[in-house]
Amino acid sequence: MKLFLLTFAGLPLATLLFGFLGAAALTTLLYILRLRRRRVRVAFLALWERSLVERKASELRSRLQRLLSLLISLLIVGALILALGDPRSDDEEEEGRSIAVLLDVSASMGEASGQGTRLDAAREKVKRWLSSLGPGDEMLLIELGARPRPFAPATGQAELLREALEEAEVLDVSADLKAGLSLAQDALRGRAHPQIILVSDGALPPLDATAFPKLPKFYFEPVAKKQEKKSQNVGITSFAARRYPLSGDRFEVLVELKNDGDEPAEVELSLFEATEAGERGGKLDLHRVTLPPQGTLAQSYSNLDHAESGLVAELRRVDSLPDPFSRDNIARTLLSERIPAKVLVVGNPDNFLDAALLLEESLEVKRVSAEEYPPAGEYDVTIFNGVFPPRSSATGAALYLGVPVLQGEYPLELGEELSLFGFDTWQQDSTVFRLIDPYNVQVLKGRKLIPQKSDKVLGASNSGPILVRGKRTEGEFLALGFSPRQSDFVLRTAWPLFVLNVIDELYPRGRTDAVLGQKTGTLWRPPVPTSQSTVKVRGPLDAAHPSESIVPIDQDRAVFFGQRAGFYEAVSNEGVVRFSGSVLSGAEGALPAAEEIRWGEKTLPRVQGMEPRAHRKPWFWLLVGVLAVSFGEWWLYHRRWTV
Amino acid sequence: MDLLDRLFRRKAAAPKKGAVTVDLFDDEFLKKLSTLALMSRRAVAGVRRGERRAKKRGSGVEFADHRPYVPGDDIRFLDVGIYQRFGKLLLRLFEEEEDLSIYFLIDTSLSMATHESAKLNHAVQIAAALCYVGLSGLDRVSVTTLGERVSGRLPATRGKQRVFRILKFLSEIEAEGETKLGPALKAFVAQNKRRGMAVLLSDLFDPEGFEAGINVLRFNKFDPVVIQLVDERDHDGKLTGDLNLVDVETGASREVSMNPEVQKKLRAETEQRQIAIERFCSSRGVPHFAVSVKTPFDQVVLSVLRAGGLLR
Repeated sequence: MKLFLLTFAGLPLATLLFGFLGAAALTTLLYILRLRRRRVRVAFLALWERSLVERKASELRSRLQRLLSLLISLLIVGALILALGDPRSDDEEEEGRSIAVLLDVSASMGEASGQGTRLDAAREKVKRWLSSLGPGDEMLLIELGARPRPFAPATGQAELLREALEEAEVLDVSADLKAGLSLAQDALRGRAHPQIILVSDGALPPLDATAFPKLPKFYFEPVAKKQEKKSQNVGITSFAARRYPLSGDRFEVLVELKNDGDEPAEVELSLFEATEAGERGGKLDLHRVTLPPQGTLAQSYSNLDHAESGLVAELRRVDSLPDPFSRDNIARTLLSERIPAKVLVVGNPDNFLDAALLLEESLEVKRVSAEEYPPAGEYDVTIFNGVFPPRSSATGAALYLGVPVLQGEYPLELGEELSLFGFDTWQQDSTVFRLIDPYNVQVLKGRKLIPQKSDKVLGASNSGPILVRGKRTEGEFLALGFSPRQSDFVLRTAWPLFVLNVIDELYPRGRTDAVLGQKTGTLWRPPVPTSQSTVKVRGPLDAAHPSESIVPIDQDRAVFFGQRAGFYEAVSNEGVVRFSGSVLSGAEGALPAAEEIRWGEKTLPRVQGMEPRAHRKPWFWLLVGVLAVSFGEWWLYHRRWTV
Repeated sequence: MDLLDRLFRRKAAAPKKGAVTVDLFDDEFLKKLSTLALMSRRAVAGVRRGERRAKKRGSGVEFADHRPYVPGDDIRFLDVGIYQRFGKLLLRLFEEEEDLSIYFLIDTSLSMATHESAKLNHAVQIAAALCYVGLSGLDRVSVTTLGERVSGRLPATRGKQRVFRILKFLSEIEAEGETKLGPALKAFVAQNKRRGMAVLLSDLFDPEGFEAGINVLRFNKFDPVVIQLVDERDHDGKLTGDLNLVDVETGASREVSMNPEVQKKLRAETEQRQIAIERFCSSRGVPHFAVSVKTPFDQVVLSVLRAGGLLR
């Protein structure tokens, strides 16, 4: 309801009028009653009589005093009643502004700025603006990361926005300003008085203004000092580790370092073991290297040990130059897991074979004679060393070394006998020949193997196949068409590798795969062998509050968009799989902070109209007025100006 | 309901207007009296029992003065030596040793009963203590209550065992009427021919002036001691607003609007009146003690004893 230029959002006008009349009548009645003087009994009135110098007030003055007093009381009552009506000026009822705030949460916002981080400074800035919001204003907060998203609904309620701001945190990604602007533009479409405010350190890639021809008012509020020089950033761009095939405890790492500066950079690279909680554990290695200007340097460090599953690499500048972007100085990766394999060796004792099997600690080897086969229990791989008993499916995949005289239980048909031959061709990409070149192996005698259609020939001499992989009802197998002892294979360093590679081929464990640390801001596809369609991903494990999300599984790999560096774990019914991600230096580290952003031909203007202002609601001022008048009345009363 | 209960209980338990509300038979109080008696003996050490010197010429052995002989005087007291030398008949006078009479004159006007009888209670406690001290010293102690006239009287008594009689008399005192010290003390001196010390316990709120009463005692050869009871609330400047002041004794009223100016004048007037009382008493050799009701009575009694002039 309107009265003059005011709209009453609270109680209706009629109620207010009746309320005022009633309250005014009550006030007047109380006022009349108050005029009766209080009786006070005193011991000796004469003592007072001598002190009383009260001037006899004139009748007119007395009346005026009383009238003034009554008017003040009625004024107080009137102001209180009016405040209940929650009056608002017509100006305030106009459509307010629609403001989209793009809050940069990219990795560079985690750098120090004053007492806190750049994000803290940005958060405080936006909080100050909240008090400038009018009754019709609405603000939409957009988290500007690699995938911009609103993190609070568009609202004018300062408290809600303040709570949302508190939850904003730095992500280990680069900001996608283009996507952020598109989102803001879409969100503001059709709204009154739209405007976009970018709150950032200015470390953003240049953007083509022509891509946004109809962008609303666009402001930029910097939160970091401009960096005059080119970025002197150093960082880790790649980090991988793998176990040695013949010594699962030991491993090697590959690190690639980058220097954005124009001068060589002296850095110190430390390698740490990662704890179960994903934190930095004991130091494993330390190297000091010089990085070339504006270049990269790949370093590999061999023969490392004492790490169970994860590794953390940390880079530190040791020259006097500053490092403006520190989040790419830490990288994480995982070592492949050492899954144990149960191996059954059937046949006569063979030192060459035993020695090869001894090299791999994760193998549990049991030896039985042909008569004892099959023993109780289950096995992953069985090696038939010159003996060919009927095969049991409980003993897993099979490796046949040597060929029988008669076909018997042998899974392949035997061809003609061969003598003085070797591997003339072989499947180089097969796991069996990983790190091996079998060309020089000389075999005294053996037999050609005749594979079935579904079988795969992995190695052959000029006379025919001598190494075949296949599958029968009892399980997978791999057959070598000669006895190793009838060749110089067992004397070669390739022999133990061959044996272990065959075990890996028949029972894949991925134990020697190199694991490359993944980069934040990209889609991660860690292998998660599970029959489920989704898994729960939790991490970063070393964060104060690790986040949890359900991610889909595609071809035995979790599809996860990594935005925070650290170790993660994917929990499925089959178990827990760990994976990691790091910032891995890129464009984010090379971009210097800026206090101005070019937008086409112009520079983006600073924020306007967001200055904090006092509470504008009239009811608040009415209450303040009541308090002021009450105080004034008290002051006047004690000076006999009112009664 | 709780509030109503409390209000009614308070009303039922409220003392009769103007009555003494302190318990004079309280163990604690009696213990304090004994202590005070012991301390008073230390204060007047060296003076033996019954050896208080009265200003009466009589048949003692110590020479005091001469006076002309008039017919009828005992000729045994004629100073023969003077007659032989100067031929004048002069009679030798001797100081008579007798017990001291102490009169406690308690103002029981209604002004003493304001603020829950604070001044009256304090006066009664001080009187009780001084009576006990006096009785301990084998003095003759009498208590008289005064308002517009003599309203009550406890005849002179001596001996410590009589203290309970005095306490009973004191605890039954009720305040009433106006303060008229002049006429009331005139009646007192007419009733008490035997002169002695007169301890006046009053707030001295006498519309006709406090001087009249004290002068009556002085002119009739009593040794007056004034203990003025002071209650700061009687001239409390903290009252605010429009007031109708009513005198508790006369019922006269006066409308007043309190403000800082009035409060300031009231304070100044009170101070001036106090100075006038002190000046009057000191110029006439009358011991005067202004006693606040906030000061514990035993402290008052000790300060009175130490100041001297009383019971010595």
